[in-house]
Amino acid sequence: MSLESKVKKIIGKFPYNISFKIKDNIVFLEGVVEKYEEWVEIGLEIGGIKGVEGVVNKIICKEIPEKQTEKDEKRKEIFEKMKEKIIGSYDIVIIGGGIIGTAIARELSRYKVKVALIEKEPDVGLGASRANNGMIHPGIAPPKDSLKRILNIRGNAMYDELTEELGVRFKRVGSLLLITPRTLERYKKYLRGPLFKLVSKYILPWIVKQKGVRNGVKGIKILRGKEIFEIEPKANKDTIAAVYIPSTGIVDPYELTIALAENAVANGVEIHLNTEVVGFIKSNLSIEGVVTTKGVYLCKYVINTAGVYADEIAEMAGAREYTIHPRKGVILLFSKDIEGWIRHCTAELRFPQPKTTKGGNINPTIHGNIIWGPTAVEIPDKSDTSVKKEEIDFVLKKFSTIAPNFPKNKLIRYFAGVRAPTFTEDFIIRPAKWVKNFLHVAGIQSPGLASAPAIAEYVINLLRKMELKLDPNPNFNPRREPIPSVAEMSLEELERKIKEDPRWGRIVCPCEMVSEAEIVEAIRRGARSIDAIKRRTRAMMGFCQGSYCILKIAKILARELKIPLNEVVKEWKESKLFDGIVRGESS
Amino acid sequence: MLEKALEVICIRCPKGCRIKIEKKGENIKIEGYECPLGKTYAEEEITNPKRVVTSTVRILGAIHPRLPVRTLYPIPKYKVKDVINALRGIVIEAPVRKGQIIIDNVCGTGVPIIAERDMERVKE
Amino acid sequence: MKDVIVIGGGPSGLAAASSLAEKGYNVAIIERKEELGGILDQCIHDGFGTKIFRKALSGPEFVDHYIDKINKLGVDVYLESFVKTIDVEGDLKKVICISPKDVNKLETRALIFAVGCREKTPFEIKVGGTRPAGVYTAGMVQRLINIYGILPGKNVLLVGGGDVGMIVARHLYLEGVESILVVYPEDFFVGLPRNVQQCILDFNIPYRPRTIVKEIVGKKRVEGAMLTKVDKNWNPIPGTEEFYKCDSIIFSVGLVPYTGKLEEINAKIDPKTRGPEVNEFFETSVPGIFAVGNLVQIFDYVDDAVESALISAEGVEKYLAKVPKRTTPIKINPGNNVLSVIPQRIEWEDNKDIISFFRPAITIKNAILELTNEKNEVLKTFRRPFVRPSTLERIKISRKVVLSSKEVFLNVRESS
Repeated sequence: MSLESKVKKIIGKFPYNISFKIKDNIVFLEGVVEKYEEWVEIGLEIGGIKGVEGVVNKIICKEIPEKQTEKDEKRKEIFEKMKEKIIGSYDIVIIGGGIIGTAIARELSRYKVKVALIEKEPDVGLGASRANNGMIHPGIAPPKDSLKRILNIRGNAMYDELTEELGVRFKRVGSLLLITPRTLERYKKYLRGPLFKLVSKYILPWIVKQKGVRNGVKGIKILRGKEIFEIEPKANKDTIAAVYIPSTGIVDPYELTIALAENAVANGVEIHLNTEVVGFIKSNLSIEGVVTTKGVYLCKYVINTAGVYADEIAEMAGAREYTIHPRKGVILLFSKDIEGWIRHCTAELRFPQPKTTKGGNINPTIHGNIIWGPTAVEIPDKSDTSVKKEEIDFVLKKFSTIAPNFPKNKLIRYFAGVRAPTFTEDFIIRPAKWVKNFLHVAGIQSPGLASAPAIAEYVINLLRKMELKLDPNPNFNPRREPIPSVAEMSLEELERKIKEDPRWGRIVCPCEMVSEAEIVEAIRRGARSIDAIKRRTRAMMGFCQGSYCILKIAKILARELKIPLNEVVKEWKESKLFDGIVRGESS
Repeated sequence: MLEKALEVICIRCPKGCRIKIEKKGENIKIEGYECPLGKTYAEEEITNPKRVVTSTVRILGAIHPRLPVRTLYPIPKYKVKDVINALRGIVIEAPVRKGQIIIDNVCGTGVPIIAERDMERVKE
Repeated sequence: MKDVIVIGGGPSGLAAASSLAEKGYNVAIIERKEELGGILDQCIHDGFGTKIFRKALSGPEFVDHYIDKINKLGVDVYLESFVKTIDVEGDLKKVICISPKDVNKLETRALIFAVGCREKTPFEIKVGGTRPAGVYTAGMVQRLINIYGILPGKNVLLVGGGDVGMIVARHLYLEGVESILVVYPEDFFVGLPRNVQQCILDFNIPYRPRTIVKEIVGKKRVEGAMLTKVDKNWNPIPGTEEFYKCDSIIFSVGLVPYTGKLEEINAKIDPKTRGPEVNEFFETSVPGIFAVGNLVQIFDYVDDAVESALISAEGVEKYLAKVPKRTTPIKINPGNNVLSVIPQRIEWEDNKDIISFFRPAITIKNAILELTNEKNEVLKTFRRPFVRPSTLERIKISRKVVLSSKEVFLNVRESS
């Protein structure tokens, strides 16, 4: 059957007038549907056809208010204003400062090329990179023939060296996939009597292990009975068997993103924050400049690592080959005082996996917290990181079968991130089909964090194939020093540091034991907001969530930046921390 | 003729009785109190309610930028906002002593505004 | 080597420290802020000290009485000092604290924790929505206004009907916000009537009972809140959602004892008070480690917190003098219609009356408080014209009444 007829067949299943067009294995869809679920479903079904390399879903969904035109007009207006204002000439412009953009920037800094990374937000890592569970997946889950699988396996293996060089905390805690009476619940009626137990205890774990082995994951073990509780004492006592994967790791995703960015900058990369792309200057089939809210970045190559916005960037460049369908994940964070309650990244296997609730674990974090989630919900708004009470209750219920006696009252925060999948669901890392010097790095969803270092390496190879000349940068220094942490320092070292600078002994955040010196250092390294300090020092991340120390931190930030206290921002310039003064008097 | 009527919550004990007070000329009708303390409270509230006002003024050269101050005695309730406004623009130099008079006879009440605490001059 | 180290230089810590120093003990105070006084430095309103001083002082005035004593007695004070670790080696306690001057390694025989409480965050009550700038806790805002002279915003929504919330509402109103609305899930304000009258009604500040914030709205800065009505069990009533426009949301939804360090040394925590379990002299389950003030139980009056500290000072004396304890302690439990009670046990031989504080579970007029034993015999009754969950009750129990019991219970019922 031809691609056309396969697409036609799928469209025929939906009661709408949907037209399509196929160009170089990219399927373009147009039409109108009622419901957002249908919009997602059509895309996913077509994306699932073998041979389809991208789905551009331009179907209008009646439920969702159209906002793109307004956005486009605003971009056009800025484009006209900025298209003559040249910022500089670069070999490579990277669009998007998430974990992928910063990893590529740092990898490129090994070579003698002029690189600018542009990011619309006031800090790096403000998209999905800061709102995930920090898990470095082992590579057991991706399909055998996917790009995800190759990069996940490779990326995972690169983590020890990478994090060591960057002074980022990383730990291979291992993961556990629990097989419980719920795992094969749906099949219970076919698996009568002892057969159910036999399949659950022996056959299924073996199948899971074999999948991992075929994917190239090393060291997988099957645990049964006591063995399970010896390594994970609080796991559900019903657990029949468990698949243990030692290579799974945990990392602080924004700590890593910031470290990559700092190291890239130290090696010559320019990072331009608060800089949003509004269009491209093109000649023939090539991009000559990236037009932004700050001006034009002339360039030889463009790398699109814009996360959930990658499709919009590609569209502006005339390189649209996919549509991102945002998928929200809600995560719950529990206090450090129950550190060790769960030691591995632990999940309960379910067959078949319920569609709306796939994924998610109970994980330890690298800082000693415990984290539940994420969920997986298709949402129309890319920037919707809200968390509904129902979603909190849902997570609390769903994951409680992993560890039934978990002290849920230790919940200290919840948040959501938005993943950036395309309808083909695999990573899309390839040169654009219709633009010569534009490289797609899109659809990076889980296991994107685990794959990041391998993606960067892969991108370098692609750039070489795209005829970029890469000579080694003789001054490249792979090492980056982390901000020293009083909480982790020996008393002797602390005593020595206090003698040098008393601010090391002034504890500002008691929950996380963060000193004034750490905060000042974070500001010196570029933190300009309360949240940027939080991500760099962990101040305000404890049980009280900053209700005690936020004022002190705001005071330090105001002093260091030489601004009044009431001009301190939480994150963006539109998010002033305080917005008024007593009786109109300035103090 | 009804001169004045109000409903107050008695502040004399945690019970918090809701008391209705009506004043016609010299006659005061009070309802809803459950003890004599409530009755006296209600009488005061209708004849001459008074409040202590607490706020801050700007201070220079001290550990904090604001100095807490209050009226030394309760002042008529209707003057509370005036007193707050009278503090606008007042700037004090550290050091300050607890009880030090910041404004004498605030808003013609005959009551001074005093500092609530000591504030030393800090070396900068 | 100190006789006693007090951690926390707020009213309770200062009261305990000065009481012991007056008796000649070698005392040190460790305080994390740059000056003594604890939270009272920001509580500039009047009403403190009505029980102890028989007058309504402001927070700074109240605590100044104790700071003055400490200064006159020449107690060792470690300011800007953060307690990193505590090692309990039987009678000897080693405290390591960090300050801008040094790392201090102190040794003491007894230790009094007076570290107070923290504010409950909106996360702990599972408020949904976004996490923009403009969300605060009430104590943070009180500090912001009274210490720094800054208002959180212009149009403010305040969540919670307790005393802290009401007092902050008055500050906000008087110091110049453009609008303010107070919402809370109960039928009426739960704080002191005095505050309802003088903070809310005096200024006609609008309020909505049985209302909660379901979701915070706004990406960068608060743009408003989704409010919803709740039934008497605080469950949202469908169809009552309403968008309320504001730029700030202040949560005043409760206080939680700061027990972190106590948990590290394995002191038992009472899930009902969320503070440590204590005996009648406020000693925790770890011998020689005492806990006082809002760390043990959130008190309505600072006067009562100070009383707990003064009682603990007597306990420290007994501990230092190695006065023997009973072989088995008498447990004190919350009984019918009582949420929590302190102390949780009686364990010293003494003839002093026992001061107990407890929180009723119900609101009733003409209440009878009954002390019963394990055989359900009534040992003693007390009368109160009115009790409610938000008002902590204080009773004095004569020791001889309970001495022959293994276990006693505190109950509340309506007078028949």
